[in-house]
Amino acid sequence: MKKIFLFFLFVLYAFVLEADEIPIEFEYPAIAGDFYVAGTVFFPPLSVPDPDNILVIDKSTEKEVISKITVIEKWPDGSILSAEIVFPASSQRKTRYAILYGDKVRRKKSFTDASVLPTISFVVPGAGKTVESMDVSVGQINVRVDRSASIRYWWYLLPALILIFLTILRTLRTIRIQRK
Amino acid sequence: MQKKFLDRYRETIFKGFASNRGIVNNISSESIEYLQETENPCMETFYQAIIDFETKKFVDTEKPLVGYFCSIVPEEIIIACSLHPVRLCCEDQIWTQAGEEVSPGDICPVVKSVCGKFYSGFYDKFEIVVVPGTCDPKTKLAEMLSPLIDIYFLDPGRDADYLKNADIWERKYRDFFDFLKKRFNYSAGRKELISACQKTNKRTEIFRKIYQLRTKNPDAINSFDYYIMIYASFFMDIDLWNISAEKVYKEASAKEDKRTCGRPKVLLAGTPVIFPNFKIIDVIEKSGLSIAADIQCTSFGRFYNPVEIDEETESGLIRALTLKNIAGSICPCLLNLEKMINLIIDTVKKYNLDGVIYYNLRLCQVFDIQTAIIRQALKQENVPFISIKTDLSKEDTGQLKTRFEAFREMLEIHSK
Amino acid sequence: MNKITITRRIFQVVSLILLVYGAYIFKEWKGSYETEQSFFPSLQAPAGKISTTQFEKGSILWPSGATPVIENYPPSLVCRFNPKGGLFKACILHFFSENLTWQTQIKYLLPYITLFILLCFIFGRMWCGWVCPIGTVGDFLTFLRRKMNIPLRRFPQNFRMNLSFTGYGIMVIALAISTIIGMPNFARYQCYWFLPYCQICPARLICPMFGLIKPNWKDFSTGITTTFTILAWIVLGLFIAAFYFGRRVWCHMCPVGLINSWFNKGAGVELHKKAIKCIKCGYCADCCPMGLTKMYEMNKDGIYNQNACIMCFRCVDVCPREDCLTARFFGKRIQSKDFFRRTKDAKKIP
Repeated sequence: MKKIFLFFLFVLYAFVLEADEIPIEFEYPAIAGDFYVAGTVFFPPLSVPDPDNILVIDKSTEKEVISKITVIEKWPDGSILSAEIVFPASSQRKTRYAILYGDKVRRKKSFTDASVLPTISFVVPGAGKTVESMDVSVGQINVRVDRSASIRYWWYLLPALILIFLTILRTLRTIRIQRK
Repeated sequence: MQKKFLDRYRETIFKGFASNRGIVNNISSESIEYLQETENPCMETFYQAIIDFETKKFVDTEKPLVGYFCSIVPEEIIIACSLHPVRLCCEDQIWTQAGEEVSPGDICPVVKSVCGKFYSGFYDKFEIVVVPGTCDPKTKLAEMLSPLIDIYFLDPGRDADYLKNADIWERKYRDFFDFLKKRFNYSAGRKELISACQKTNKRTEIFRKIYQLRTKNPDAINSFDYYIMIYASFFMDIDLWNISAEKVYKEASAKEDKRTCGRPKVLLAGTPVIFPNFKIIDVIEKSGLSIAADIQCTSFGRFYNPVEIDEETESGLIRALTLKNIAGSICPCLLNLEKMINLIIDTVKKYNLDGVIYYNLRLCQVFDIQTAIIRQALKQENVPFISIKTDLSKEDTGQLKTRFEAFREMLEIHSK
Repeated sequence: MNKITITRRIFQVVSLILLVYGAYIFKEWKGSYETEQSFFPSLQAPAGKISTTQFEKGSILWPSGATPVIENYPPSLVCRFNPKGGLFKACILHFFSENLTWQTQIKYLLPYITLFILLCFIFGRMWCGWVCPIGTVGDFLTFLRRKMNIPLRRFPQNFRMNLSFTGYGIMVIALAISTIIGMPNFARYQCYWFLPYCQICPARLICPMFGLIKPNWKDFSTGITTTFTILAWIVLGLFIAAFYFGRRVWCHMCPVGLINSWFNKGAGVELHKKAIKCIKCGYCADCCPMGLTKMYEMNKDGIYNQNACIMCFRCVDVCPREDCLTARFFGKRIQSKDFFRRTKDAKKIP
């Protein structure tokens, strides 16, 4: 019974909702007034099933900012690979923004039609290049996205190894029973 | 009623073929007085069937009769060919003495009594007799009977290992099936086989109910009636047997709660008990034990396993029959002593029985040989065990009774 | 037919329907963002410019103008039915092959692999006996043979052993090809050699038939496609023959089953034998669709899980002795304890 409980814990943990944050950087332009900040962000597979799972937050207030998200590409499993994110900012209020994504978050504020405003592009620190980092190979997509929280994936190694260990243990037991 | 039946039976055999031989039968009605309290009115069909059989009416059927021995021979194939199977195993002292005229005295009593029945012309309606080569006396019996009647010899081999022999068995059964079809010019296929298997499976179902009822309360259907039912199934039409046995079961299970069995329950294993030779049952019941379960080839070995149909093709059905009849057989002629020991221990533990009586009919060596090993195995499991070796005569009844009474006292001490 | 077998048949049919028609049935599930892209967008290659189906014919990458062999819409690809892009990927060989070619980083595959290991750890090779769509089709072929009264062909033990070695050989070759074409220098071979096993897998030809879609069953445009086409035909023929004359002979060499079988002996679903109840009647070994005999041979109590076992529980079903063979889940019985189960079912003959 203890074992079964343990495994259900694993299952639960595998499906637990997660959210990750990408800080973004841009330079405030010299112009005064409102402008759009735009850029393409890459997401790891199966992290963002829906564009509504991406939102932009104001780091100073921790509140959601209105945004427009256009899906550019998808992973073969249907989750979003890359999306163009556009959100308004103002030179009067110089604050920092970040992108939040994952199944935990849900976008509420969105806009579709952009008014005519100057647009500047943002960069994602750590990711280095944006568009250049996509290596399109032949036939199937061959995309390398460096920007992601690795720990989100590597922890799966733990249950996998435990399960393999248990499998080997039980297999040895079965073989021992059958041989005797 | 049982007593009445025995009187009728006695009258019948004296009128019949035994009369000119002046032999007395060994049926005793002593234990019947005890059993009478638990008799079942629905048993009349079986009693009547036995009386009819003894008056050479055999069975009420137009179908040709096919005689056979042992549970190794597949009844289902015989039924599928629209024939009437009659199991000829017989342990009657009358016919044993008749048989001694053509066979030596120191051989298997079954062979002697069968020879007696055939040579005195009692069995004359059979088209063919199927003799399996399970044990040595049976093999020679085939040769002894061949001047009188057509014989089909079916040799399953002595190794009951499925992996080695399944294909051989299947071929042998198929040959038998083809032979019957050709001999009686009847085209039977899998439909007939399936319906035959359904009949025997129905019988298995009823038998299992009765068996389980008796393990709980042996007096619900007393051992006399139980063995009468077993004997009647040798020659009765299988459908009729199913219906009548179901009636008996219903009657017994309705009254079940009122009766309790205070006597120690024992398991009777070993040589099969066939109707007129009820000496061992009489003695056991009289000495205060009750037979709650049995592991014998006439009853348990023949009825307990259903035909598990996995493939409904003709070859699949025949294979299923080989598995039920040969691989699952408990016949001591085959290599299956471990299975026998396991069965005894399992039955005793499962139904909380008090002890095991192992019955050896004198001159049946295969049962006798394995007694020591079974005793040893049961000693390890701490199951009380007694082995009895006796013959068809009634001379040692008193001696047996003393031994069983001692055994009963031992069981009572053991259970405390 | 008995309880577990009836349950299994129902489960198989439901799984087949779900796998083949699931995308039609649950089309409401797909997100709003997918609506305008395709009828079954989640099963398409990534949106945008990269897709197997959108190469320009005659280009260097797609030289002969050949159409891709693997279609990207259901029901042809039941092997990777995943309506909302979740964790679930059915066919593990498809998964490994495509990711070796794409050279996906291992960390992104870890969730899939962990789920696969978890499922295998709990259920062992139950996939083959209970879900696998072509296994269901094969069982139907076996059913037809039984109805047509054609005797079962029993294959010897070492033949079945050799089949599994063949399966491992095919698996290694398929994965090696997938790895090689993933290398940049060999990228131009991707259009022909992509998913090499899937191209000859009988599921590719059989499953579309349920959706009344004609699979890409012949392609003689180049030498490689011709080879693959003929191989696929041969494999399909072998598949049909194996299921029609034997029972589950094919499953001995199915690479997916072989991967699953590594987990079988340690699986949570245990097959248990109580030796004292056994009367060695051999029904269990006789009915085993994979032709296994361990449950018959074992002379002591214990788990008799075997590598090739597809967990169909047929042996548990036909055992005439109650409590002898039992199915357990982590040591707990999952089987009904009805004494008359056997004989009741024995009346109803399939």
